[in-house]
Amino acid sequence: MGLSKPGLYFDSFGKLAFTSIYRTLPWAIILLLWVSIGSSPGWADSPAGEEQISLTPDPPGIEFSQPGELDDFFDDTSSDKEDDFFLDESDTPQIVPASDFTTDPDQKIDSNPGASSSLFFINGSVTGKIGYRFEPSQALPGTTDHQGLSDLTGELGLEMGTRFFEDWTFFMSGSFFYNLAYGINSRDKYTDPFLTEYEKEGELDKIFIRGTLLKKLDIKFGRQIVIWGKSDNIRITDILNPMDLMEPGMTDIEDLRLPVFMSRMDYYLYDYTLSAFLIHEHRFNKLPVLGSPYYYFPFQIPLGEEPSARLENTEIAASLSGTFPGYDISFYLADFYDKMPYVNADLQQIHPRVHMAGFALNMARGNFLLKTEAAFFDKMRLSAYMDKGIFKENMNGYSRLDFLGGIEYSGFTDTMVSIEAADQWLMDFDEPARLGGNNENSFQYALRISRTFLHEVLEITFLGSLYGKSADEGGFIRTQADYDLTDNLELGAGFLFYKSGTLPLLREIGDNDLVFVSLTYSF
Amino acid sequence: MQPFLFVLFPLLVKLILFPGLCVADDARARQIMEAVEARDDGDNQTTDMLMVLIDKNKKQRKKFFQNYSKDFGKDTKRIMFIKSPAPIKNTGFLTFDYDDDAKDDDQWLFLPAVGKTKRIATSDKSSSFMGSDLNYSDMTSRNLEDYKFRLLKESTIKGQKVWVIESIPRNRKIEDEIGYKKSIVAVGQDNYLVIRAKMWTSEGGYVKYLEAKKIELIDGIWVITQTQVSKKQGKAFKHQTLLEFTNVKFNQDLDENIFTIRRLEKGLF
Repeated sequence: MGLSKPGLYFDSFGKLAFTSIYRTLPWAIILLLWVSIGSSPGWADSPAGEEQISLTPDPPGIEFSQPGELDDFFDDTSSDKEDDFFLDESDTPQIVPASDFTTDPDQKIDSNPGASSSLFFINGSVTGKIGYRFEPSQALPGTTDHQGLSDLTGELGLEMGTRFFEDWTFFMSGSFFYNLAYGINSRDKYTDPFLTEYEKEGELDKIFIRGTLLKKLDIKFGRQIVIWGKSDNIRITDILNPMDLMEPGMTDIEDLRLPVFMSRMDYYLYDYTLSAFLIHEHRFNKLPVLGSPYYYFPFQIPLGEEPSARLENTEIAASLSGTFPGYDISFYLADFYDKMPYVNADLQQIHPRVHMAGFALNMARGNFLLKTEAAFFDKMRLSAYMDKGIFKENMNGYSRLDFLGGIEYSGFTDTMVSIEAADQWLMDFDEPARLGGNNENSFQYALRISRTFLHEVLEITFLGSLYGKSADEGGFIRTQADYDLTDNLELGAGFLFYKSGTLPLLREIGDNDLVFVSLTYSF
Repeated sequence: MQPFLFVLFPLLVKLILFPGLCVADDARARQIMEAVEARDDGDNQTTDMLMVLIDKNKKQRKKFFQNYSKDFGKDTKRIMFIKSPAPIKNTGFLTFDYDDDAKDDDQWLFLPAVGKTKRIATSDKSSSFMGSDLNYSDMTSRNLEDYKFRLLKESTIKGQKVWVIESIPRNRKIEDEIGYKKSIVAVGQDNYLVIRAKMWTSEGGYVKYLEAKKIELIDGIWVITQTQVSKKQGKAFKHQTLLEFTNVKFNQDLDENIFTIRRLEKGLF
């Protein structure tokens, strides 16, 4: 079944075969041209007026000022002519005392950043979202047609925290959403598992206590997120928290990881940080369910026996991180439950206990940030396979080596370009593995381009993620624009194209293309 | 004669076509700029910073920061947290500004929404600093060897005597990195502060006007506590930034552990 591939399956489970990449390629080309052209002189409106001294692209050495070019800005007379250089006084706001922006006006800045903040805070956001799947209906008889309105969601997120003693904090956050689209479309057309998972949810996300036990020792206990690795788009060593994969491609990196209860200790010594983790909650990836447009099995695969919260089941992990001029490096060890299940011969989802050793390195060189990650996984299990018409459990244990290389370039003004490529090498690849739909090597590529405009009022992001050595195994391309209507109100809009491919779980994902709009108020 | 002509002819062409290339660096101007860089700007500094961004339609946005900086020998470490607006609250920047020009600055960004610290490649400083009219190159110390200087004149601005100095990057690479093809600055003769500046951007044909609106003597150090920067294209006003620094304190005996990723990830809270 090929379900046991953590890191690769941010998306999965299509229903019908339809390819949309050919429509998205022109967008990608336009975007790349926009980045390269937009960063070169001449993209903006032509300069005009006498303030401009030289329009020629000659070496800067020739552009010495000439008499008359200094204007009055550098003379006493300019005090009467400031309007020529700045907004009228009537248009210029009186600068508000900075203290008005502190939570507590009496609380002045302190030599300890933590001590200068208020004792209590509460923040939140309210979001309205609309999503529309615009592909012509390809639903087979007996399956759910998801075309049309897919999202009419109201969402509330809240977070609060309080500080006690000098360096201890308590933090908690939660969220609730309700999607009205399914009621409008008629709830009868959706499956119960789908409505249970996709229509509404209220969740306590994070809740933890953090503090300094000794001068060089911090502890953090509670439901939290720990991010390993240096890459931004493909996960190789980032394995401690499960992911929300219910809407592949739509869930961005901010909301992708799901918090779990764990105890964390960090010991700081010079440029190194030694961290130890005990993971008490065994939480796994949230996957599409029967009736979801991203689920392609004709029945719901039930969960098998899940590890209990007993002490001997505690997941254990450790890391050693170093921060140095020009580069950061981290080493990781983990003994954990695979967040992605395999399917056994009884057609149950099982999460095996897996060992992992890995490292991540990034190096800054000029405008380039080079990233690499590698992870060795042992005791992995693969899903059952069909042999002569009989479902057979794959009893073999497998080892896998994952490797990632990436480059991030920030040399274009207000623009970030990031390219990553990864390979998962199934080292013990054999016939049962092949029959189970696995590849010996599984490749993934990701390209992210983001650029801000209008003094960071508008940000446009392009994200493409494709599987397969020749990028022919499926994936998605998303383009999104976020516009700040005010400091606290953001309008977002974008489209998401899926590409069907040869990867079994992505073979029929292509007819889920959608457009989306969101409005978020933060407070 | 022929070898001599081979040498002389290109030189003559250069003199006729590109007179600026042959103008020697102005020793007096460089001396003044060295004094500007050497000016005591304090150590162990803490400050609040308010940034008001005003677009051409007079629409305002405000950002509020809390800053810490400390010298470590010739290097400077800074950490900055965003206190408002809400969508980016607790975002943090940690910067190690190295005196050695052969060494790129180290910079990390902490995004609380993601919960991740991310290293930033910092060679290019031409991007806007937090959406303002200032570039990152305006916010860090500069290597004077990268520029040619020329003293244009002495003048008086609001009763203060100033030197007016032109500054030009020595080559295209430096120009691309800082984002300006030329700057003219007015340096106060009594305090060596840049109280006005005019900068020509490399891209877009913009001209920026910078003026120190308020200067205060704090703990014996001259500090610009209000700055106004306006960006124009020709005669057309494009954007303006106001910066106000409050609670400016020096010699705070800041713990070096403040300037770490540990503190960056904890944020202000």
